[in-house]
Amino acid sequence: MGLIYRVAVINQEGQLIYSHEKNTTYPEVEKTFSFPLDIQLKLSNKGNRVMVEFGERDGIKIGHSISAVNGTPVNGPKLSNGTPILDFLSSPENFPLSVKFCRPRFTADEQLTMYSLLYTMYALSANLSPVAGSSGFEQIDGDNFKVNIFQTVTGIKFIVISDLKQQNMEVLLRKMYELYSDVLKDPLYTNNSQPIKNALFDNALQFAIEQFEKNGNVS
Amino acid sequence: MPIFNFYIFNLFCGKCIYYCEFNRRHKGQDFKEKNDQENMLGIVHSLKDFMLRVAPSEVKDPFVSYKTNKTKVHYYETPSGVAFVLTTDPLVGDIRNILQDLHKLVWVEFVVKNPLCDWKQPITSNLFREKVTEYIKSLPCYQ
Repeated sequence: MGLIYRVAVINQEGQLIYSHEKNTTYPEVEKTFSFPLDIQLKLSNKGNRVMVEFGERDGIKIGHSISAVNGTPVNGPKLSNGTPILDFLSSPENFPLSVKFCRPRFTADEQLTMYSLLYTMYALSANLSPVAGSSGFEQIDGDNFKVNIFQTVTGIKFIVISDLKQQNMEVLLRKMYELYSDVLKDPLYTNNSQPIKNALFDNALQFAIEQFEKNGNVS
Repeated sequence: MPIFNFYIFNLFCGKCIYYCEFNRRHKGQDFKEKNDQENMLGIVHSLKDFMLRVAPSEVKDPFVSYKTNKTKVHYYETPSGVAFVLTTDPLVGDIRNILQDLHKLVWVEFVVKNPLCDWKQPITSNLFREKVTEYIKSLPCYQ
């Protein structure tokens, strides 16, 4: 029973035109704190969330962001009533309070930049190779997951992020290519810098992924 | 199964402090060693960042290696800020333990314990060069 975590499609210009993530909920850690807070927090680079910078403990790790304070979900860098979180946490009269931390989910913008970076690195890795005639990277391994990338002759890249033990990824990647070419037959899909917003494609891809996870093969 | 080349990077200064080739068969069109090293550091750093973000769960090593159709690039970094990058044939498996031994038996012994070796600058010690070559040639995956 395999596991596919994410799939994505990047076009020739390096723009992300489709992305789908398996619906995993990241674990949240809630803890009560008294003044002063011994975890160092900082505003993320884009200013859209408050992240842990230093002071890992009890399941709260560096990079985790605040998702709720005193039970109410936060609104970016501010609480639901509009006060900035960092100000709220620096006044002693608000303590003791409980804060919930979890791994941040990425916004669409962040995903775009991430995948564009991948696109650039792909081109660079082909040039950097010590052996002639190398393609860009086809597989990137992590500790327990891997990223498989398939580039078509037209320069479209299909990306699947899956468990390390998953075999036979070319089958799923080629099936995605087939489904993508079906999207191109849609007369309303005019140029391929448009994101793919096709319900048939979504359903067919979901079905293909489920089949692949169960049988290791698609029909 | 050949090993192509080997880089050591200092992640705090962002520089390549050691580079050697064993079997490099091809160089790009306007190949300059410095650019090649900077590009490799750039790729490895960006991939590490990408993998950290898309990792489905918290893992110890988000980025271990990447594979193209002709080469495989292995990456190993230590918390002290030293990163080893080794390019090999794509059929080589996971060699993290080999790189860990390289760190333990060669880097720590001949660079860290050497009072004249400053790891913020390129390593010029001949002893280190010999020991690295000896270690890599003794690997079973070296042709």
